[in-house]
Amino acid sequence: MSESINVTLKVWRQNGPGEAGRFETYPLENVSTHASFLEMLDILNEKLINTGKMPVAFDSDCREGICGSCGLMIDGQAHGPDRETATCQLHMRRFSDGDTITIEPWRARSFPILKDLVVDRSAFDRIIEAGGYNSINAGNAPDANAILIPKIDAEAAMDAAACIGCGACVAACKNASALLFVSAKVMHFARLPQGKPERETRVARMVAKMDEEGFGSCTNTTECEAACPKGISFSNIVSLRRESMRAQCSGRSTR
Amino acid sequence: MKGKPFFSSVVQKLVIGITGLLLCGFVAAHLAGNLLLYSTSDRYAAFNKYATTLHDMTLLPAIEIGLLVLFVVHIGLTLRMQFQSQKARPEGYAVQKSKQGRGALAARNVMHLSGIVVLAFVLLHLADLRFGLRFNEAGLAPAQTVLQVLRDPISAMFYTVGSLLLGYHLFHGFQSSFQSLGFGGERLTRIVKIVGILFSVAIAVGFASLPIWVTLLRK
Ligand code: HEM
Ligand code: FES
Repeated sequence: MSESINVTLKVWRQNGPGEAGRFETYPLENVSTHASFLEMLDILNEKLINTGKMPVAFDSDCREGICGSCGLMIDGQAHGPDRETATCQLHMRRFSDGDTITIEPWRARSFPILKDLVVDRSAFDRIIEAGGYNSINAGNAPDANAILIPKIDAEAAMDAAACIGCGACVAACKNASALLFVSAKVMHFARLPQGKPERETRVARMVAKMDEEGFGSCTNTTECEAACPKGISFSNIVSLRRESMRAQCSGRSTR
Repeated sequence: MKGKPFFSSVVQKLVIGITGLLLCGFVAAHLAGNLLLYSTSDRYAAFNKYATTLHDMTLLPAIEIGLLVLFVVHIGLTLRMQFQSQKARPEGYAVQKSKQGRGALAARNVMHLSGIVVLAFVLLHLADLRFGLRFNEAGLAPAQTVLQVLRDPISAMFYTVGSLLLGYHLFHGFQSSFQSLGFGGERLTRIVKIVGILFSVAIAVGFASLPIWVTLLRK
């Protein structure tokens, strides 16, 4: 494999929220195949700055796949072609010399574009504020093994807790549904003893907030699961529906 | 809370799933009756007996109204859902590619289109056989009426295409409805998916075989 490649980037540029955007084409030569995708964009931005142009705005923070800041639609796939890989973990060796790479922001009414490739994901924060927490007094840290949690529940809760809230599930879903995100948060709590006291109100409030924020409705295409950089299982969505029904039937969902 | 909707998107999908699954039950029962046509002995006595018994049932009007309600609720809510989802992404992507290796025409992506074709087929079918709008020769035995309709090339074509697309609708729809109902974890879902494939193929082949059989063999 050659150590460097030439690529052509088609990048969505938009000056601000609500403004008309357009694709700009940028040829980029001699990109190291060891560069990460975001490093490649850093190189592009240095070139743009050196020629007096506006750099491309994009989000990133940890660059090690744990914070959920990064997120780009790369050639029509959320976080690019690899499974369970966030954009910051994608590398240029995944591309070939001469490739044209189309880069777009997440697109959803609930994720308005702020600038270029940066979208406002505060709708997720508001869903969390609606119920993605514990407000009961859980006391001091208990002794180890004082609260027994079946391994299967602990594992499933941990798997759900791996969600980094990047929004790839919304971006990849044809309905722009946020149900994988919401189900990961709901099932993370619902499976643990500390989360159980508030489980009925939690699921009802988070689902209501999700609808209110204008996300679309899940039609079980499982595209979210395939796009998720953390491999959050679609079965969380099926569990959320049971959780939701349980809350409705308990009559405690509106307290 | 202001403007709180009467039901959430999760409940809406639950109702879509229940109506879809009940309609699956209906088409399965309907197919079982139709397949009696293959018993040609004694001038289709088996089918005629089944049809006459069915038509004479006192409860039939209630069942018909129930079916009508199922269709109206199913179509009404799926259209509403489709509309909501279109609003959720006003501006689409220039490029979009599935990470599951599935194309834009995968069953899961064209449920509304397969549904509309099924609706057209159901309406034609009702006009033909429930209300006798196109063929109304009096005094025919039920089997003769059906054969008369299926001999008509337009009906034969529509019925074949409609049956195949109903199967395609159920290819995604059957297993999807179980997930909408919150049924199953990873292993059960795998089983439901296999059953769904078998069910949808059986429905498509079963229904489509009749117009094809009549056209090719029963001239
Ligand atoms: C005999 C007729 C029909 C049967 C047995 C049937 C069955 C189903 C089933 C089982 C589902 C899945 C429900 C779920 O995932 O929760 C479904 C979904 C759907 N159906 Fe039907 N259906 C029928 C007719 C129609 C008609 C006439 C239309 C529309 C015009 C329609 C439009 C839809 C749509 C848009 C969906 C949702 C799609 C999605 O989940 O992506 N269906 N149907
Ligand atoms: S930058 Fe933190 S996950 Fe990619």
